[in-house]
Parts: sequence; C-alpha cells; structure tokens
Amino acid sequence: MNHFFHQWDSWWMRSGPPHVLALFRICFAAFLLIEAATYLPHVPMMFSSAGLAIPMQTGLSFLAPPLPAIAWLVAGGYVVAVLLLLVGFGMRAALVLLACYFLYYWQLSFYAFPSSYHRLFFFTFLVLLLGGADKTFSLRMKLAHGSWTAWENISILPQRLLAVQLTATYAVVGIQKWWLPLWQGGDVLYYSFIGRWGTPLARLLVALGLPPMFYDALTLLTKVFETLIPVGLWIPRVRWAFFAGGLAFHLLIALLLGIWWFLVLVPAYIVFFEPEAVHAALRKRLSISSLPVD
Amino acid sequence: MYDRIVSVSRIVGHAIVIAYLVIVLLGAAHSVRRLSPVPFGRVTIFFYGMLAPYQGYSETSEGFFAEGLIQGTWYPIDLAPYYPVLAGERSMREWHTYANWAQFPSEEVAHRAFALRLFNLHSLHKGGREIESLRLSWVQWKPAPEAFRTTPIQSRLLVTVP
Repeated sequence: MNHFFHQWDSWWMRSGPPHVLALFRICFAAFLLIEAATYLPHVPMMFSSAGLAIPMQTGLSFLAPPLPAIAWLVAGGYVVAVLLLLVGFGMRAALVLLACYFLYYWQLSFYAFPSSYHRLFFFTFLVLLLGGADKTFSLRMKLAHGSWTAWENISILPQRLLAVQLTATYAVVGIQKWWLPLWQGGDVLYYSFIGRWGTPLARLLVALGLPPMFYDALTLLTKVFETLIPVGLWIPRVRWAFFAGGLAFHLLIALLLGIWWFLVLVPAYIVFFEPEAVHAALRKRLSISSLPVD
Repeated sequence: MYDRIVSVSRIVGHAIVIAYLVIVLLGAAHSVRRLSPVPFGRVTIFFYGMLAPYQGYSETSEGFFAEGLIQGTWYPIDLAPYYPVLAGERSMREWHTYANWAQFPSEEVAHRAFALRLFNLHSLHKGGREIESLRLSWVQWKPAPEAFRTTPIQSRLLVTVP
C-alpha cells in the first residue's frame, strides 16, 4: 500500500525539468495567436456595437458590445496577453487575463457554442496557472539568469493533468462512439461531409459517389483509432506511430470538416514524454545545462 | 519550515488531483448515461463538454433566412458578411441564436433581438439597401454535395421587425 502511495505521489507530484511544459506553453500560445489572427480582421463585426454580436447575459450592460475603437483596444489586449504567454513573461497574469478574455468573448458570442476545444483551452489556462511553464525558454529566465535556456526544476503536476485530460478526451470520445446510435454506420460521415461542417473538399469527395461501404469503413477506422490512441500515446514503443496517426486524423478533420482547432492537440502530445527524457534529448541538440540554476 | 510548506503544497496538489479525477469520471459517466441531477452541476458539465465532441449529425441543414422589404417587395439578405467565420461556425452560431442559448426570456424575444440587430446593421452596412422592414425565417434544407443550402424543404417565419 505504501509502495502504491509512493508511486502515486511520484507520478503526479515529483519535481522534474520544465522543458516539456515550456515547449507546450510555446506551441499553445502560438496556436492561440493563429486563432486570434483569423478573428482580428473582423473585430468590429464580431465584437463591437457595429456588428452582429448578441450578448449572452443581457442584464450585464457593462459587458455589452463596445464601440469599434474600444473593441480594437480590447482585442489588442488579448494579443498582448497571448504574446506574454508565448515569451514566458508575466505568465500567471497573462493566464488570468486570458481566462477573463475567454469569459468575456463567450459573453459576446465569440464562443457562442460551448465547443470542446475552447473548453480544453480554458482548462489549459487553469492548469498552467499552477506554474512551471515559464521556468525555461522564457523571457523570465533570460532576465533572471541571463539565458533563455536556464531552467529550474518544477512540479510535474500540470504536465500530468494535461496528459490525463488528453487521454480522457480521446478515450471517452472514442469509446462512446461504439454505442452512440448515430455512430453505428457510415451515414454520420456522409452527412457530416455535406452538412454544416462540410468543406468544399469534403463535398468533392462525396460528389465522387463512393459506395456506402467507404463511409462505413471510414467510420469504423475513426472509432478504432480514437479508442486506441489514448493507450498508444502512453506506450513509448508505438508512441510515434500514434503521433503520426493523430496528425493525419486531425488534419483530415480540418480539411474535410473545417474543425481545425483540434490541431493544437498534436504538438500537445509532448506532454506524454517524461520530462527527464525530453531534457536529455534537448541537451544533445542545444547548449542546455544539465543542472538547474541555483 | 520549508518541509512544512512542501508538504502542504503536496497535500493541496493531491487534493487537486483527486477532485479533478472525480469530476472527469463524472463527466465520462454523463457522456455514457445522462446523469440527473448532475453532481457538481456546471463543473461536471464543463468537463463533460471536453469529453463529448461530435456525438451526432443531422440529415437536414438548418439556418436563418432573412429578407428585407423594399417598396412592397421582399428581397433576400445575404447574411454571409455578418458572419466572417467558417461555414460550420456560422451555422452553429445561427443555431444557438435560434435555440436561445443566450438565455433571453423566450425564443421569440431572442429572435426579435437578433432580427432588430440585423435590421439596424443592414441599414447601416455599406452596400445594404435601405429596407423598410426585415423578416426572419428558420429554414431547413436537404443538404447535397453541391451546396449546404439547396432547395428549402421547410421554412418557418419567426419574426418581422420593426
């Protein structure tokens, strides 16, 4: 029993190098920047009183869509917060700001639909608030220790929480498809390809007139892959194959259904590596110290 | 003193882990068999939302159809400029407005608020012709490879404003 608790404690709470979490932070922030870039040209239409923003809570007048100039300022603040997260400076303040921004834009119908990916993003803000993601490859470390690659040991807890959440997301999404009535045949993909999410490429595919068996097989493949990936990502021997599979899977979803937000999960797979292994691998390529500062 | 701080942070950490695992398991259970009432309410529902993307599909397309009245004739209004997002996101936004996810007192109030916003916006929008009135319908289409919005199979007038 004691052994179990020791293992449990070590797996969740031990200290380790911060490189996995720092790389995750950089990829995640870069992705948020890309997403922001898709909305920025349309700030007045989407987030101001000059557009079609219908606020969710009509009683909160101070959260009503602002004038376009204010909306631009607010959007600029969002970009600054993402940049701070990216460079690793004032990270916790940036994360609190980003969480508030998500709630604000949700109110303004930016996130009018409670999408799974935006919930994952919000969850990530909360997890990164536990700290550690700015303890290397960050402006914070550069200013404090004179080097971008200086590092301090951190708690592994945020990395584990992110890994377990990804596992849970894939596992539950995959397993439930085996009995969800609408996922028992290929119709789900056929109608999705010509439905609200279908892209021009997906419509082209459907226009080929492929037999129902094609959609049945694709649906089965999706279910098998989503069921296996939460296991495969944890097994070092097959992990890279599932990385490639995950990339192909999410690329196809982006190309055929336009749901491109889940592509952020692919670089997030780094959280499945042990921090010591990533540190060792990086030391071979970069001039990273083998020891933490102080 | 340092050891004490460390042990307190560890206890807090384990409390976070256990609370997190309980909520994730409840979210998973809710995705398999709808729990009622849902333990821990919105927190569980939030985590359930991360475990349940794309559970189904529809064999019909649905969306808003707006028309503006000019000198006794109704003309269709192109809503695309008001939704500068991908088609799927636009469709979801329309559906959530239609289904009153913004929690207006009723669906009718929600539809009226949307139609009035659109009416004012269209009157101001460059290129938008001056309209005397706007009517908003919810339309179902039979989707086809050629287009998401093809021939309407059902149309329901929601509201006419002002």
